[in-house]
Amino acid sequence: MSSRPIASIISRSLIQRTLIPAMVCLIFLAVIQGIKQKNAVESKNQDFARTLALYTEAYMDGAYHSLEHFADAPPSVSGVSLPQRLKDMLAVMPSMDRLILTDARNTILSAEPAGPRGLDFPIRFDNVHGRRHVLSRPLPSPQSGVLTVFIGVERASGGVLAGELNLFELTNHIFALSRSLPGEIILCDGFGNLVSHPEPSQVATQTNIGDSPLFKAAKQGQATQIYLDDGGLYLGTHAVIPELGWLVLVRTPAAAAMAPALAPVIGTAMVMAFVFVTLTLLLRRELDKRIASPMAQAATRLDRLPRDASFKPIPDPPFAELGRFEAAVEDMTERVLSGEAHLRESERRFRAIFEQAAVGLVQCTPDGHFLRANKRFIQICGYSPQELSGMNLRELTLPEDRQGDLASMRLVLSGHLPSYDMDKCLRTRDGETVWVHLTASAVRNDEGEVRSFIVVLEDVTARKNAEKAVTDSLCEKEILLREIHHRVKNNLQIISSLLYLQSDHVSDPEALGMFLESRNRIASMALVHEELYRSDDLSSVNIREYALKLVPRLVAAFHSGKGIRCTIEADDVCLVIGQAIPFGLVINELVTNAAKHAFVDRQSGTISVIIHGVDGMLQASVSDDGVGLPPDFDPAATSTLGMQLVVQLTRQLRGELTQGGKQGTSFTLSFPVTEARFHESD
Amino acid sequence: MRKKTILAVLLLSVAASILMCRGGDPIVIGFAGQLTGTSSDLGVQGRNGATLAVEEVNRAGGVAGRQLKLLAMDDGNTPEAALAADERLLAAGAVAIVGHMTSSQTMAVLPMLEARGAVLVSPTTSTPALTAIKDHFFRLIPDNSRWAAALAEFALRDRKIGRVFVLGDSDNASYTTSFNNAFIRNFQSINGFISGTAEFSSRFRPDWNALVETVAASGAQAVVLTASARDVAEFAKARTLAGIELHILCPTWPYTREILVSGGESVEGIVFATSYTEENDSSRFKSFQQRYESRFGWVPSFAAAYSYDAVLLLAKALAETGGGRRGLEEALVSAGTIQGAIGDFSLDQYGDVSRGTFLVTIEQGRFQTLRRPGE
Repeated sequence: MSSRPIASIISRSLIQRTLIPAMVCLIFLAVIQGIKQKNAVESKNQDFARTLALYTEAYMDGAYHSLEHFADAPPSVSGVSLPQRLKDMLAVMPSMDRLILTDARNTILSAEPAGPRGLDFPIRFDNVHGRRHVLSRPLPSPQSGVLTVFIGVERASGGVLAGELNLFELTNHIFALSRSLPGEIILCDGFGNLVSHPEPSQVATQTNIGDSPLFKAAKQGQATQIYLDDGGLYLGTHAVIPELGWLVLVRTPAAAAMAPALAPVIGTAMVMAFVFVTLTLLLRRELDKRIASPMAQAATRLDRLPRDASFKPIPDPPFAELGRFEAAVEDMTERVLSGEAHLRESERRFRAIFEQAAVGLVQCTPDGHFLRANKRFIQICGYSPQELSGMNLRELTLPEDRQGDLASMRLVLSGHLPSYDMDKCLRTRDGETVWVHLTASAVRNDEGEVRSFIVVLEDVTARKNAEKAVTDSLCEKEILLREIHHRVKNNLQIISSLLYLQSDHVSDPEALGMFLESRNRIASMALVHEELYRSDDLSSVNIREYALKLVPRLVAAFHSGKGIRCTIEADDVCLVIGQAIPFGLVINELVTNAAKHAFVDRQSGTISVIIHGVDGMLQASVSDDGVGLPPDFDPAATSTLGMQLVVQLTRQLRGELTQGGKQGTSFTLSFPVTEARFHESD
Repeated sequence: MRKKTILAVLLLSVAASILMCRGGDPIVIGFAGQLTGTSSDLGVQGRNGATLAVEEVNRAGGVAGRQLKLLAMDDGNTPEAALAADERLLAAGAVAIVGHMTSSQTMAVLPMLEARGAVLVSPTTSTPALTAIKDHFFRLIPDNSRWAAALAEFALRDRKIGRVFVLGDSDNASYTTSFNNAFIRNFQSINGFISGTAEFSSRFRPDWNALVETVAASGAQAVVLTASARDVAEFAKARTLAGIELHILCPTWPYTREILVSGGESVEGIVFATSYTEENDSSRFKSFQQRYESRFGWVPSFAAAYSYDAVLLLAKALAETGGGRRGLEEALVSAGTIQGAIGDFSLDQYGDVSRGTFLVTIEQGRFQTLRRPGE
């Protein structure tokens, strides 16, 4: 939006702060004056209308009265004939053009001038007030063409004395009276047929004004009316002549009526407008000379200021503000020049860093079009700068990576992420793929809108290849280790089978027991290896899974037909193989002892194995509800192989074996877990 | 930007105002007839009848969404004033003119109207000179030759009048001559005798006594008097004062209440041939009479009724043309049946109306119908 000149601003300000309030006041004053004047004109017109109505009523009353006088006169005693009496009366009634006497059946008895006799009187009309009748509308006389109206009075003996009243005198008087009024006087009957009108042609053409707004308003009883007629605005009022039903309408053109009140207001408005225009012109001229022109000159000098040159203020400014302004501009131009130099240096440094960076650097638009790329990126992708200028980063991205790229970019654009990074493949100009580590961050303006992306790309193809080689090698070793554990387990299984075959040739129950115990020990070791090669993690054994398989097997091997039940409660604790085998052998010996010796002379019992891992310690408890141990039982002092194994293996585990239990036997083994991952159960 | 917005608002306001003004512009219908002078009864009644119709059409919503406006001009009952009146009406934008009320004025203005392509719908022009002609003239009253035939037949057959004097007002020669010639032709065709013919100019106040003597001297049993109501009344009064026994036969022209007011006892027995009678018992006519009296305070004549019908016909045709002048001639003749004040009527292809003939007389100061159409 272009700014306006200072003169225009001041002119508008003057209009808003002086002219408009003044005009509003004038309009308010004009409205007040107008209302007062309207009321005054209407009041005056109403008075005049009533006066004319009274005059017309009096005039007509005179005419009626003269008819009544004759109508009420007793029959002539001197033998004067009826036509002669009418003739005599007509002679003393100059306003009557004709007299007609009818009987009660409306038959004409006599007429003067001589006319129909013995016939029905053809005129009947509407208005009846007592004995007085209005017998016709105002109409031109058949004889003279002058406007007349038939009126009549009822006779005491029946019938009517009718007279054709010449309205010339009445209308002349009304016309003369109306000259003293600025308005117009209209006299009409109750149907709008004109009796008197300012334009005589309207009466001559027997115009009916029954459709005029003023007449309608008068018939509806509205005292005053403002209305449009013939394209003009009028103030109108009326008065009714009661006996006749006629109307006196007075109307004044609104302009003429309001002129006396509005002329001073309009005059004042014109003077104000003249003063305002003059003052505005003078003020604008002065403003132009003292302010606008010097400002324009300063602006022109500023426009024409050579590049890298500082602005020099004029020595003697025409007004103080301009001097301050020019000084400020001078200071500003110097700061701008200094800033520009600093900016150029900064730009050089940035360009050097950008171009010489060891990683690829790219500036692109928010939708991925390349704006700038450094040499390293050119080397990575193989495209020339000219080729890149028409390309999009997505074109270098493999199709399967594009969705991921787009999603990350949207997160940055929406402000949810400041930047993102990823390893991805780029397709080079030669069609090969290059692994890069990409870091993209948004450059935002002051409003926070993303203007561009800075993308840093590091060629990580060598690292990716190395990672792949290590992964492949690790995978091979895992397979190998799993095979070793498998073979160890198989070998232990074979040994166990050999011991079983050998036991068929042993008849000594003690020796058989020793074979069975040995087989169980080997089986418990084999189970460790089996658990290892079956698990995903070849470095440790899940003790819970191990215990769940081992303990029931042992109980089944030694239950000797008794109802021995075993309960196992174990956490998901993992042990490395170095701890898993001794731990398995200890559990094997303790459960075997319980199954063999705890339930002598009993038909049932329960063996409970509880394994918990707490604070890097594993605590395994094997207990039974059997006969229990002798009070002086000492595991270390026992000569049986099983208990010696338990003691020795406990030492190997750097653990501690405790004995307890009020009912039955209970051993608890505690030892620190080495490099094992464990998870406590809930 | 702000200036453009203000300018656009101003332009839109002006355009809207123009459109509103166009939409609200009334359709101007002109009326031309004698509103002053001795035969003003026809013109004033005609203007008032047309005014009543315009007001009723407007109250019913107007024509093509616009109001009608009647602009009345006095044709002074002279050809010159008639031409001037029509010129003023056309200049004021009248789409059609209702008038004139006498044949002479119609004949005087018709060439000008034909040249201007303007339509004239006359309530009371009955000259046969315009019958069966494709022109811009349309009428609501039949041509007077039918009345002449009916009057001739009535005089000879019913009243046994064998000798008739034919008298006419030369100021309305088109009407007078055509009617009188038609009467003479019809009367002679049934062996009637024309004892003489004469003309007078109503403008120059004729010597009625001399005219009565002329007629009486011819030995006529009756006079065919083609003149206005007041002139016929004056002739009748002169006849009465002279004590001469003479029947008076008239066409529709003087058939107004003015003849009763002006003639009184003298006009008793005059016979009129007309297409209109006040003794019309139809509810539509009674309603028209009542509305007219309520509006203007006096009884309508045939001139008022025909003018009322003329505006109804014009309004229906204008509804077809969308209020415009173009195509109005075709719309008038194809308007179909109109429910007029007197009865249903329609125009033929030449714009002439067909109505039956009444014979009316004055008895005891009142109009009485002697014969109805078809009797």
